[in-house]
Amino acid sequence: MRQFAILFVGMCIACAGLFAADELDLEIRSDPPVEAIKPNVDAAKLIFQLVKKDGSFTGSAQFHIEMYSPPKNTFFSTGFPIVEGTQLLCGDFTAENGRLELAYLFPIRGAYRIKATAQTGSAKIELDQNFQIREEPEVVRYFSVLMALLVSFGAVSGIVLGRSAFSRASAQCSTAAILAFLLLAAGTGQSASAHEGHPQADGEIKTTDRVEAVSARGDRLEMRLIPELATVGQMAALEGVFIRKEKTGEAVLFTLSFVNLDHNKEIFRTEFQSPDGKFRLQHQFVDGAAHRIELSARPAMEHTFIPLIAEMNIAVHAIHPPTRIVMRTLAFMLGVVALSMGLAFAVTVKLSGRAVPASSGGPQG
Amino acid sequence: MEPVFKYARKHIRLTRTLNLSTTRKAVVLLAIAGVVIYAVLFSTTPAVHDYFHELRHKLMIIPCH
Repeated sequence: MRQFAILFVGMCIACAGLFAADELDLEIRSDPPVEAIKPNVDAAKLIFQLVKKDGSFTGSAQFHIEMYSPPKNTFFSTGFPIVEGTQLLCGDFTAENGRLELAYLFPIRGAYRIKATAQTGSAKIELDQNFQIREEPEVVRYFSVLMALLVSFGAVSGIVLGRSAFSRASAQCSTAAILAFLLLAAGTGQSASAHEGHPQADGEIKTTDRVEAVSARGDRLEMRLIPELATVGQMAALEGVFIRKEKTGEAVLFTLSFVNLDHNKEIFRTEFQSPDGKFRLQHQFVDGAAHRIELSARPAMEHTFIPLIAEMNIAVHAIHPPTRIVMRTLAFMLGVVALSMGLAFAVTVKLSGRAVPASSGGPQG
Repeated sequence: MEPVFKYARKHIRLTRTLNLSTTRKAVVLLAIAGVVIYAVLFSTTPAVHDYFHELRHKLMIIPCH
């Protein structure tokens, strides 16, 4: 009889846990909405919210967040080919009222995968969601302009070549005219290249991999990056700890942000609690530029406490795009030029109503 | 810009005497177009890359670091 009673109580506890899990729900939404997010332009806010079926959730919750970049594209790459199909973020956060906010700059277009786990008491909710980020309309416009330029250049070249096939005089000038045009374009590019480089490359920004801030009261905030040099395409771990001189074992409220110093743009920001005053966050820096990491900490329960702030600039090792992707894109562009050139040449010849001579005239020089 | 025009005029003078078949001209043209496109959109030389960095990211399919 006693054994039955123990079994009954055990089943009740298990059912209560399951019920608690059922009552809760985890929602992920973004601000602005996913359709309005512009990749590599503005950071969007991701909001993870635990909600009860009968209303809002109050209390603290532990979140485990993982984010993955869109898979590699079949033919055309995005602006950051090294980043495609890699992990971007992995971290544990404690948040009050079951609400965690992450501001994040999505670097490329495509379907991001976000895996989130929220735990509160015995209830645990997992969510695996895809975020489809569209390309920025302005970028699509610029791409159309580039294609129009390539087609125009090919077409003009085709017309000039088609007409030169019949005239010795224009044959002598056509190559010269086109060569001069290209030389001019190349010369303009060359003179424009006398521009300042990345501050990181020029060594204008002093970078480090660890920093420590100490307050007048003797409280300490430490932060370090592992490995010492972050690399595009790989996760880097950031560890932080807040140590109070007088008290120990209290929850700490951290505010963390990453700023890309090349564009002076915030790419990540969050505020979270840590029950033991420590945290470890894995993050991939997707741009090979210097970044500033800003961390502030204060005891979670002491609202009048002036936060202790630590800042450090880190270097990010850039990885050049794979040669096969470069060659594929270059071949596509030259293909567009060649195709439009061939079509324009054929049309010009047809309109002229004559057969094309094997050579445009005279012995080959 | 002065040296660019100077060299352009020099090239026109030199190439006036050139006689190439249509196919050869087309190949030369595509080769030069390839070099120019590569230099502007794909070169990793820091000075060139840094200047055109923003442009590359605005063109949708140009891979950068």
